[in-house]
Amino acid sequence: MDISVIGASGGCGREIVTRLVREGILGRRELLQLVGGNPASSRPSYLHGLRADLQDAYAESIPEIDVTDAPEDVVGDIVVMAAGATFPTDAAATRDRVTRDDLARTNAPLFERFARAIARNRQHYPPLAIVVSNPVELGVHIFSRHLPREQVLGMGAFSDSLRFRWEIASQLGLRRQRVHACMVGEHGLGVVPLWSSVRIHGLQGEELEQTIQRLRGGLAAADYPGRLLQEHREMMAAMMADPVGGPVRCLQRLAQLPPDLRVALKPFPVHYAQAKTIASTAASTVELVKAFCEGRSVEVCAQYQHEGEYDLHAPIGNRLILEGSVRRIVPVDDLSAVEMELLRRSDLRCCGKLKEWLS
Amino acid sequence: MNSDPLHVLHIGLEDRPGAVHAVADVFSGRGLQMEAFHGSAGALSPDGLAVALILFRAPPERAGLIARVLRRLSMVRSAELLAGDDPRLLCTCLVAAGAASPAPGIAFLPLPAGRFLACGSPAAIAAWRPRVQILSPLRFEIMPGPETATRV
Repeated sequence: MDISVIGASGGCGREIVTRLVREGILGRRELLQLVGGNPASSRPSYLHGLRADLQDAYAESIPEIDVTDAPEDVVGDIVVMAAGATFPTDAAATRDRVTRDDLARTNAPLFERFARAIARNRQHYPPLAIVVSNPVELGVHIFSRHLPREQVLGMGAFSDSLRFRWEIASQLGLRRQRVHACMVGEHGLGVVPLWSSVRIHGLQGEELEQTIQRLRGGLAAADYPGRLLQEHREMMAAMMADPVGGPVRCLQRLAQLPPDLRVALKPFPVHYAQAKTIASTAASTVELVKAFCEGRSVEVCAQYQHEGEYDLHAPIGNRLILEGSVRRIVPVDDLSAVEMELLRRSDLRCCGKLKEWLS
Repeated sequence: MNSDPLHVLHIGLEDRPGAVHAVADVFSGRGLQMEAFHGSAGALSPDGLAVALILFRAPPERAGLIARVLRRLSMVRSAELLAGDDPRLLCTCLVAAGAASPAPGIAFLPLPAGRFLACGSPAAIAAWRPRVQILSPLRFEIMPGPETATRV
């Protein structure tokens, strides 16, 4: 199995590459490609230095490492797309309103350039493309226009689900492995928590129901989107007013909120605390890569380009069965009516945004 | 029998331990088998690079992908994919006198003891080989000459 990481010189790309090497996911003769995402980079030698540094650090288990800037050279069986612009980490700078729309317009040509080149060279053996960059739905949409959609996944719902599991587990004093939970829909403020999917090892029946009720803190599914937007507005205002101390106070405030709100909101203070969400995004990306490399049939939550399944049409997060590529979507019949309604609204909103971004 | 087309990879390698291993892993990792392998050390090559010539069967797209992956390996300096009937390729094997009947694209050089050296492209020899008893393993070489090769 060969893996190409596009944008390996970025914060998240570098962390993904380091973890792939450190965790020994690739054999000594397998290829790890470090692909520069920006041909006009001010640090054209960076990836060569990173390769040498990794070789020094992990000499016992280092795979073959290749460095390139050319999309035509991408040969990985798995291609991780981590290149592209992100929001500035200075909360005060958000007054200049770098929006998700700006990010979409900046990153769309980059997605297009790599997706087109990979498709051209890999028509018969398309790789699995994992989109990490944001807006993740746009990346999945563009890659799915060039590659078979079963070969394209977005990381947003995968990492949101991992966070959801952690938020529930930590509140109950459990390890994450004991909690099953899914976050679907649009990454960010359009996320849909699936409380109906929550399973906690050792709890059943009424005890499980009561525990979930307690965790939710009285926030009904139908009220979730409105409350999320309100909390987000207040949090951003606090961080813009005090870019230095604001993120810490927001993290403290977040600790009082229910797990589903924490999942969607926590990345903001983490990002504006200058830490970004590098470690968690990289860790979840490597988890997904591992699942693919091991060849197991696994259920994952990830962004996927829908084509009318369950009346969904957007590249939003959903529960998928992965067997080397996306085998099928997990049937939605166990979702509550409200969850299904929120998922459809998320789908509609995402379709509208894509139209706007690509017009 | 594998009916995929024959290809030859002409690979320039750094003359270091493990270089051939790295190349072989690219093949085995993709379930491809080499039908013939010819290698020589850098000291024996005009440009100082070790050379490997590998004969294998694969669908053209897979053969192209193998060549692209090989070009990304640190120990590989060049990897050119040639079609099995490329005129630059010369494939030889020893045959007994009775086998030396005319065959398309194959020439016969008489040798002592009633033997002949059959010469042709890998594709021509491979097509002819099942019909005769050959006395030696296939050997093959790439000849410098006009650039008529098909590069994928």
